[in-house]
Amino acid sequence: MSHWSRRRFLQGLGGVTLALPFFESLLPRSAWAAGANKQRFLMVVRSGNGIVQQGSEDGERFWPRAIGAITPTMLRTTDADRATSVLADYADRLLMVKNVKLPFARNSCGHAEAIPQVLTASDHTGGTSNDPLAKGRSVDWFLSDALNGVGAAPLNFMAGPTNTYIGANLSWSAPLTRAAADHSPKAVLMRLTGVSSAPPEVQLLVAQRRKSVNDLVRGQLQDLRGRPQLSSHDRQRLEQHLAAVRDMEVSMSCDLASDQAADINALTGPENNDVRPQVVHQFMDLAAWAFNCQLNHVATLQVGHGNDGTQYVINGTKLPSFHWISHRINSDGSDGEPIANAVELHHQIDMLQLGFFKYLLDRLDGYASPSGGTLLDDAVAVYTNDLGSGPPHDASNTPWILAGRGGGTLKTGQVVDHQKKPVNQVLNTLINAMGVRKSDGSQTDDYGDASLAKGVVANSLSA
Amino acid sequence: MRIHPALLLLISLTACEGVLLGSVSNAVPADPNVNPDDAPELPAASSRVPRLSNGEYENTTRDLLGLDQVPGLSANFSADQTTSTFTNNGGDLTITAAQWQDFQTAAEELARRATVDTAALTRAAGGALPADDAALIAALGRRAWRRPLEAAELDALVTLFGAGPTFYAAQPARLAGARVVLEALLQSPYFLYRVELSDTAAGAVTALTAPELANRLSYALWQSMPDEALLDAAESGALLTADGYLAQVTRLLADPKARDAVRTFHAQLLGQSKYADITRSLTLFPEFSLALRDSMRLEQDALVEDVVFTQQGGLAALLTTPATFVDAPLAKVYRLDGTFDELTRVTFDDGQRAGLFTQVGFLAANASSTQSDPIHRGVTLNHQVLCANLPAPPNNVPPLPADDGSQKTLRTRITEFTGAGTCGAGCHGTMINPIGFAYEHYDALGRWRDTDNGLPVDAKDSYSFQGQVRSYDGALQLAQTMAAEPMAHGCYAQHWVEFLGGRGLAASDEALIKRLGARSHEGLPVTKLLELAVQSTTFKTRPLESQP
Repeated sequence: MSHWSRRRFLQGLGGVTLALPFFESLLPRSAWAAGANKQRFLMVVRSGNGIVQQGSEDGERFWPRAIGAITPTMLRTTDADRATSVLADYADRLLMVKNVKLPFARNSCGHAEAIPQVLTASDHTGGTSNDPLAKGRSVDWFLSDALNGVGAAPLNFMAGPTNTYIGANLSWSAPLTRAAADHSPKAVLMRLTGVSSAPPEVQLLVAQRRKSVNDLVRGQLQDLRGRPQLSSHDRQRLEQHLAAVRDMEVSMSCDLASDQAADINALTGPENNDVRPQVVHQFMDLAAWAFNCQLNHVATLQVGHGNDGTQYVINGTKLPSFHWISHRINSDGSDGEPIANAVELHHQIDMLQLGFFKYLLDRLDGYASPSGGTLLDDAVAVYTNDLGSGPPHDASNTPWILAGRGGGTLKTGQVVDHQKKPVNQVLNTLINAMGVRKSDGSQTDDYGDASLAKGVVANSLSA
Repeated sequence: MRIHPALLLLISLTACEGVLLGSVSNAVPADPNVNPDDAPELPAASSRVPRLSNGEYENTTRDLLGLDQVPGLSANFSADQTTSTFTNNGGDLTITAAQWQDFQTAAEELARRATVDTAALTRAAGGALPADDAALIAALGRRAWRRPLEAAELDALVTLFGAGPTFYAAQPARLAGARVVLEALLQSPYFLYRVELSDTAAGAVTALTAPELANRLSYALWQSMPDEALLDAAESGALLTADGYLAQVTRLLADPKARDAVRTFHAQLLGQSKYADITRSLTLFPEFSLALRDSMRLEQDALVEDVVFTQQGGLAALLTTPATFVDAPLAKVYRLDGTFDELTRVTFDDGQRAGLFTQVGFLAANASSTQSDPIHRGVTLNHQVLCANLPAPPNNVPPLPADDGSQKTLRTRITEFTGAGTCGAGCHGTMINPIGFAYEHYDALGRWRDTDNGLPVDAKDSYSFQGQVRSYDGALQLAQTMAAEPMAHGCYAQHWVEFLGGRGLAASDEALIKRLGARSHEGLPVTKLLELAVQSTTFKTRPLESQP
């Protein structure tokens, strides 16, 4: 597979062949902080508007028929009509958790109330606002502290419009503090590779210049370090200095596939409806690449805005707004003309969303891991929807699919009924799967609002 | 031979460094100030690549670029962390990934500033702009790396210069070339470290090269880079002669930058950075204001400069001069009438104030928010002025019991808690309290007081100065006593050896410290003390053996 490097990215921008170093100076400092376990990764993908499952008037079209063990064969045969069959290839690395409750409902806008709870398991400011604030910190930030180092931010993506009724509300850096999400894959790539937001031709020159200077400095440091007059302490100090410079080249050797980079480079208007699937894929490309290069260990992706109004294209047909489909009428409200075969369309969109998720699993599984398997074996990738159903947008039975092995900690190949117990227990499972325990070494069981029952998802962890 | 107390432990810890005792070779000019019958003065093992401290970085970039003031970019750098008294212990300073980012960003910004126009570049080149590009690069490099460039180094920079117009197309070509060259110069280890690679044996020591010696001298006396005259003296060889070296020492000490360095030495020694955190209740201390923090700093700096440079005084004068510098905020604390629109020298004739340690800054910084703090005042003076071998406090020391309402002075309460007959008697009763109690006439803001808690202040005590027990009544008599005893002079010399060398202390420093301490005790002015110190073999050379 051909790979992309920043060299090529800039070559594409500027038409000049370069050997560019990785610009450490433009990365967040904390990217080098020691993590709890460097070879664990988490990405959460969230969709909206609920799914077609039992518990509503729709009937079950999402989950496998049986609780308990699942295999690829089962999903391809017995459960081939269910949306989750899309993930059949990964059945033995899936932990499907159904009926997870987002517990803090106030009977206002279900979308607005649900999404701040997904990763915080905390209450929210509620009220009539379409923009309530989570009262807790989200688990992506908590785990970023442990895996990236305190002070580093997790990756926070949104494939959706920039101005919308309910925006990016998945990630909370602190209670009541919403983390701004990136909407542009290209901007993320530029940031991760140390290229500023300046015009490409300026970036190219900056890159060339710094590379030239670094080449000189590195040579001088290597020369000095090799001088026999130096004490071991002095050599160690210079080695540390040299490592700070050399990290640039080391990171630079970690390439993104050239076709992925080319797509990212070519895409314009990432907030537009018609490129949403491409943007989703590109953010997944970036997350997997960032994990592989150890640039970050935690990412979130919000697909669509709070009440996702994307008009998806299925079988060549551009559908009505997904939100309308989820209401089964041509309206964001409660009155409107019915949409024919809306449940079927919703089911098709569920499969589309899980197809997105499978794309992420493919990406993670495509990277070899130093621990022997693939990146997916080290990671946990999560699919969730902040609502359980179309009508009535209930949040007491949200779906969660945990994929990957979490370094062997996750018990996969099964469907678990969480029986409408709260979401904090799912988050506790994720935290433990990332190797983060309590200070006394015991399982983490207390993330989220203190009023919620402690614990993890039953039978979810192997240790 | 009496060994300075602070060196006792040091000697045992550093003996493994294997410094050889023996006569100093005549290959390095003999120090005419040393009595040949005394113990030999030898160099200490130290880093060959000490990093510039943040303060030195500021001073160096100011002088390199010909600026009137320091650029101030290090305000965002990581703070310097050293194991010794001063931040210029360059062997302790490293460059981590975060600091590399700091230096890279700062280098690019400084290069931009230095090439905004031809005038700026001329200043960076030392005042004259060579017509030839290679000559310009050589001039910039000589100043930045503080030594002449080697041919290969110059060639590499000339190549980089040629790419400048590509990188900075909007600038005139020459400025663009100089800009990228300056970026490289300022990120180079030859700029960020004071590199000493000489391995030329000269008898029992290693002689520094002339540029290395110029750097040592400049960073000792200026905390900054050598100027053109010093670089010239190095290149001509004049610096390697005793007379040529002394001429440069004299010249550097006469420069205002030496005043900055001397102020920095005393500011760090006395913990001046703490002054910025002092706060007081305006109900209890109506004289306090935030402006007083700056005033405290300026007061201390001004007295140091006055005593050392204007009066040409020594340590004794720093301890006992009955004068200070007062502005309007300070005048309130000192209860002085009159107008003090600017810092003004005042002389005290009331017997209440003398020297650095009755200044408001020291007294307030070593006090609680409401009361004087004899313990911290005592500890600070024991450590920083007397270099007393004060062990660390034991764990789990309980706090001073709260005032029980009985009418006692703070001194009485502390004595009952830590004095004779208590578990704290060993250190507090004999070393800490006797020094701290001498300052009980000064309250938490440094205001004079005659009573404490309604009772007369008792500032009398006695202290054993290296076995000689001396009694005193109050801070002024204590200062006179410290000035008269050798102990503080040895300590002062020890601090200077550490600061001038930009390194931690070593056992091999003992002989020089002893000589300098004795001269200080005799009344030698500080400037002359520095002159002696930087002429010493200890300062001017490296040890022979390679370091582990």
